[in-house]
Amino acid sequence: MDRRKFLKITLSTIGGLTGLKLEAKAIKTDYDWNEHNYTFVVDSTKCIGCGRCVIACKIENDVPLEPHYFRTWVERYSWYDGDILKVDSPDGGFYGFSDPDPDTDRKVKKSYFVPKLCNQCENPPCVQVCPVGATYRTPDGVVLVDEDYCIGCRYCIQACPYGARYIYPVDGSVESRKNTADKCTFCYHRITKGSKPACVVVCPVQARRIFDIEDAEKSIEFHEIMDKNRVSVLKSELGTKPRVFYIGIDSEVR
Amino acid sequence: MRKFNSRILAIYATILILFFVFKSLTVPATFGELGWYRGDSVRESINLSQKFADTYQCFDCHVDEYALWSVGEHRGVECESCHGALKAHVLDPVNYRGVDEYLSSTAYSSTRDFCMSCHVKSTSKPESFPQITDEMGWNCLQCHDPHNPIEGEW
Amino acid sequence: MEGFIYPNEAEIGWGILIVLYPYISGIIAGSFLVASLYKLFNVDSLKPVFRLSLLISLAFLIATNFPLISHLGHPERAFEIIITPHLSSAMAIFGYDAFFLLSILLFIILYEYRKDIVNLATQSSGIKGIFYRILTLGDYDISEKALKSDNKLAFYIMWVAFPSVIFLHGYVGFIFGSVKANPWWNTSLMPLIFLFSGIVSGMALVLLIYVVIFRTGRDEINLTCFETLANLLLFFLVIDVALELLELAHFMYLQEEGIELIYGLITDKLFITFFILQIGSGGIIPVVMLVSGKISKSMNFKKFVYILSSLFVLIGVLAMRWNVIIGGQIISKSMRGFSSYHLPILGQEGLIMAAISLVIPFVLLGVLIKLFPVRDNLE
Repeated sequence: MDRRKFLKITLSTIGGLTGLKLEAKAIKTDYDWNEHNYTFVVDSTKCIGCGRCVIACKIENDVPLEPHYFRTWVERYSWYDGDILKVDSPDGGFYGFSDPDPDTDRKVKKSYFVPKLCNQCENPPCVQVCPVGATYRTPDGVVLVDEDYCIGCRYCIQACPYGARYIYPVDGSVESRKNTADKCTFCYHRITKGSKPACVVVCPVQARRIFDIEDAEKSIEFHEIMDKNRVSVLKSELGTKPRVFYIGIDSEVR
Repeated sequence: MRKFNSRILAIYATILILFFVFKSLTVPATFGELGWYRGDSVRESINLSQKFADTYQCFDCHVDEYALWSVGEHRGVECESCHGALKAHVLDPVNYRGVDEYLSSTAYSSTRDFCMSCHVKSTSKPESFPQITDEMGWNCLQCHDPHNPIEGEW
Repeated sequence: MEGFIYPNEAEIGWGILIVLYPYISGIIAGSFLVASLYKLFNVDSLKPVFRLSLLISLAFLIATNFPLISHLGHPERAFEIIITPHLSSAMAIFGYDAFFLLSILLFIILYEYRKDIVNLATQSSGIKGIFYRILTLGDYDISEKALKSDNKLAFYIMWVAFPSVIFLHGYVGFIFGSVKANPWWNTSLMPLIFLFSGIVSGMALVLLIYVVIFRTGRDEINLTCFETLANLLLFFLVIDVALELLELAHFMYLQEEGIELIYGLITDKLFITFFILQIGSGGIIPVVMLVSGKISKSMNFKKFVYILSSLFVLIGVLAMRWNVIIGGQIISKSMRGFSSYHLPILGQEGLIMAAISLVIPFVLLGVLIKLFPVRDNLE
């Protein structure tokens, strides 16, 4: 082997070992994620189950309209005489809940709606199990998916305790997302530009609210809510530390 | 060392070197920059296109509606909740007057159905929320201005 | 769909290909254990199957990649798992262990077969000759000293390979056992159950293939070896059945949330595949048969019973994989309902792809046996 070849091989080996990149093309952005921290509050005592959030999310994020792919959806919990609990989510709540209650033979004792979305956990099991580094949590508290890197192994979908993830289908409208994992991103492309997520915008009763608790004003608002209400998270026993807080749900809500 | 063993070692070393060369060529440029993921992915997520605008942008032009809406019972309902995603309209009001297929009134078979999509009586809705079971089938707009439903003079 | 499921759960993510992948990789654990018992633990009666079990391990190790890569949403990006492995993910660790094992398994086989390779290199002609000559790596020394050194090196490399194989299939179990979101999967016993059922399926396969190959060549199978294989099978099978029943008992005793779902799963949805195929055919029936074979004095009865038990075990372990993977996905994480799985015939995760995945390791094995003779085991 001659000297030139040897040098080439050694250099690329060292390069590979230290992880040097060939070129670093960075898309410029002036958003500093260290100055933001997002939390979400869902007020189940206000939700009317109109389903606008489900529709708006699908429009804003190019989620396929086919029935079972949702970044956000609404569930209805109904308690009947005889301690019977029925849960339903017809088309995820996309068309609202047209029937007055799911079981017309019995008398309803208590019933309400629970909007669901990705909890953007502080300790996300989905990020933990991704084998290639295609999903990650940003310092401002949002778990994102890299659609150009995801291999579609579906491990994150198995690991999410809340059913928040799904595989973007082959017949979806966004070409680059096909066969990759997808989920609610708190409309990252909106909140980083000062707007609100689509679901928060269209909710007619402000049942869904987002707070940037690095912002002094919003932080006060958020902590007021936390101090004045009985607040809970979903499946807290799993240790995922969700960042979506629910007001007014019972312990049976999963 | 025996010839065979030294050759086995050489093969192993070559495979390792080839692996590192392959790795340095295929790992994306911004991987590892911000964490165990592709740095560009964050920027791409930030730069996705928006379909919904912000409500305050409507009132630069729609002043009359603002006057009604801001004091009425629907002031908690953002414009796009009934009118659909309209960022394209904000950017080009003249040419784009798009009506949303699912979120606007035209998605429903009648205006009454549109109002009922929120207001239909349901045991699952909070008691304080105005709900109706009107069996007469009247068109709500006969009496109610959607921008100021209770006090507005229609 | 029964009861309530989260809307996104309507689609089952891991289908028949992911049922087959731990099945194929589990067989590696069993066959390599057989090889290790001979080479590392001086179980000399296993000598006749030593080479065969090495080849089975290699064939199945290569073949396990097929269902794994073909089930991906983006198989063309599969290499990402080795260039940027996310080390907190059990899948990434598995990928590295598998590649590492593949490399050292190849070396073990080269060292073990060196004498034959050198002989075949000088004797064969044409493409085969070229192939063997390449494998000699230019070293034609098959003196006593060289062969002894080969033996020692193979021994040392096997000592590295042995824990890697155990780790490999333990990790496959860990992939499922560490998913806290799923009540059917979340148990610390999962790596052990996968490991021992893998070992059992591998040993059963070694026994069956040993019988098939040697009988078809009109050689008589070495009866001591045959008996040892059956004994080992029984030994590990008893542990495996105990672990599976323990896991079930654990769930039923703890009565944690989701227990009604699990009851519904095993008594209704998975009744046949769980009680009849996994516990029955894969556990209790072969144990009874193997014990009766051990007690019996009739060689014919022994042969019949040992072979039949091996078949039952292979079916039972496949059922076990099905129950874990499909069962775990048809229960809803809302703890309130079940979805359903339909096995298509065509498509990425269809029956045809599954059949191909199962055929590939045997085709590879056939090629390897042709190239590396297994009957030449008398020194």
